[in-house]
Amino acid sequence: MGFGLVLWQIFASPDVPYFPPPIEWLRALAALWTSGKLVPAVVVTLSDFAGALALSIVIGSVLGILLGRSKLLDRLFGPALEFGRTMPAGAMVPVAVLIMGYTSSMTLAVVVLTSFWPILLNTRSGAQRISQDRLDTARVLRLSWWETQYKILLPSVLPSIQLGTRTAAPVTLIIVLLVEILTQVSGIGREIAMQQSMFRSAPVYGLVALTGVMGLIVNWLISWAGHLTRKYDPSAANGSEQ
Amino acid sequence: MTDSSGESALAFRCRALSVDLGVGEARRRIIEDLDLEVPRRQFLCILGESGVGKTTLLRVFGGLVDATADSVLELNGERVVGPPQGAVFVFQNYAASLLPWRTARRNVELGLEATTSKAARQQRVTAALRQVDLADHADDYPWQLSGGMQQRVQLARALAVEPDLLLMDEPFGALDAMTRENLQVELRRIQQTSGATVIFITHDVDEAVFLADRIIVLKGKPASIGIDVMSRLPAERDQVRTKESPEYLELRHRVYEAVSRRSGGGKE
Ligand SMILES: Nc1ncnc2c1ncn2[C@@H]1O[C@H](COP(=O)(O)OP(=O)(O)OP(=O)(O)O)[C@@H](O)[C@H]1O
Ligand SMILES: [Mg+2]
Repeated sequence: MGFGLVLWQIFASPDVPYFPPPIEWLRALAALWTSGKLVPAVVVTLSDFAGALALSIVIGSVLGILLGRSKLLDRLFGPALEFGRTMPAGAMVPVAVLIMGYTSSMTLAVVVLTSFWPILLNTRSGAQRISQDRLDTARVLRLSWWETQYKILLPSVLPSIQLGTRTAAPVTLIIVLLVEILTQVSGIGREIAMQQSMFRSAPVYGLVALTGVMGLIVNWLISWAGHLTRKYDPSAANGSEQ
Repeated sequence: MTDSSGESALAFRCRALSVDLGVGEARRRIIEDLDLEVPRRQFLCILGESGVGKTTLLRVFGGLVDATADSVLELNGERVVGPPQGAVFVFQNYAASLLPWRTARRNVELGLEATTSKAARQQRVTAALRQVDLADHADDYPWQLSGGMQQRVQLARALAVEPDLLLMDEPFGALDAMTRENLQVELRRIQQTSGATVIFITHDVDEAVFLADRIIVLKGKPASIGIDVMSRLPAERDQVRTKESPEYLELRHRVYEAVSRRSGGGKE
């Protein structure tokens, strides 16, 4: 990839405005930085991302455990799940804006509604796979309902939650940026949209490259967290569902 | 565990016990009209061919499966509805039953956490681990232990709640012959010192004869008690001497015949 950028740098013509050379991207980013726009935008995007992902993990794993452990709930909501998971985020934005206006809770709602699916589905199938003997163990030792949830079920599905989070994290980042671009409320996406509407190509490329780097870092962090729990339960590092 | 009531006190009683399993069309009777009384401190082994309903019966005893409405099932004089206080199940599949994210000690602790203070808990856990000879491995995770050691952790977890009744479903079925024989001796010794009543399921006639004070063979579809014999072996058991004694050989002979008459060539 680096090689490609070098070639681009060498062969890009300064006369064509659509393909500015990489050095120009950096200069544009530096200019944004000094004008004080870059840092707040990055902070907003990252905190929206982190908040949305955290909320998705909580909602996805709680619902996943409930659906995975209750045949009744699963039968009731199964069809709705098939519908909901295929709903494109872009289509939700106008509805969400109508209901909640151009606010950051609107961003959060749209992002969470798209990104909790892989966590929910993985957790649900993880919860369905918990062995009967393990559940009976909880009953025989007379653990309370609450003890069973957090001492048996939750740790049993932790690897599934983690797998779902790995799938959800990049999606979450993409949807945050998408909503920012569409609604221009705040964040890096808003900067990209504004620069683009003024036909300034160098900052657009610079910002897009920046989001790429953020995506890489996120992926790296998540797989690092994966290694932590692999140690805790080497037997459970298998099986997944999208 | 209560000594005052003596040898003859009943630990466990069932009368006209029937069990149905399956849903809708597939529902059928697995166990029919079974009467059984188990005195305190008895070591009872249940034998029977595969699929006869041994696991089902034990799960009913443990309150994990319901019997039919008119069945009578009592532990220490109290009706069994749901897993009763004072009875603990030991599963054949120790790998599924132990929690892989907890050390041996923390696994043994699991049944005590809500009911016992931390200090008392530590003491009981340590004692239970010592009973199964795993004091040195308290801080190991299950996957760092051999199969036999893992099964001993499960046994310690059961002992830690100081049960009146241990329900064991082929607990040594997945272990090699050597480990198995050692654990049989240990279990017999633990049962003698703790005074727990044990109901132990096995496929293995030798295992049953070696361990039991009393042996029951289940037979039929639906299942009921085929034979019910008392052992005349001394309370202390030893892998070599016990198995050479005439009482052992005689009992083994009787039980083998009872088992193989049903299954046409008692294997295993
Ligand atoms: N959930 C169920 N629904 C319907 N039938 C069942 C169910 N579970 C078990 N059975 C049937 O009940 C019978 C007894 O099963 P069980 O597992 O108690 O046998 P077992 O004596 O323990 O056999 P094994 O020695 O192989 O463990 C079997 O014929 C089995 O097909
Ligand atoms: Mg069985």
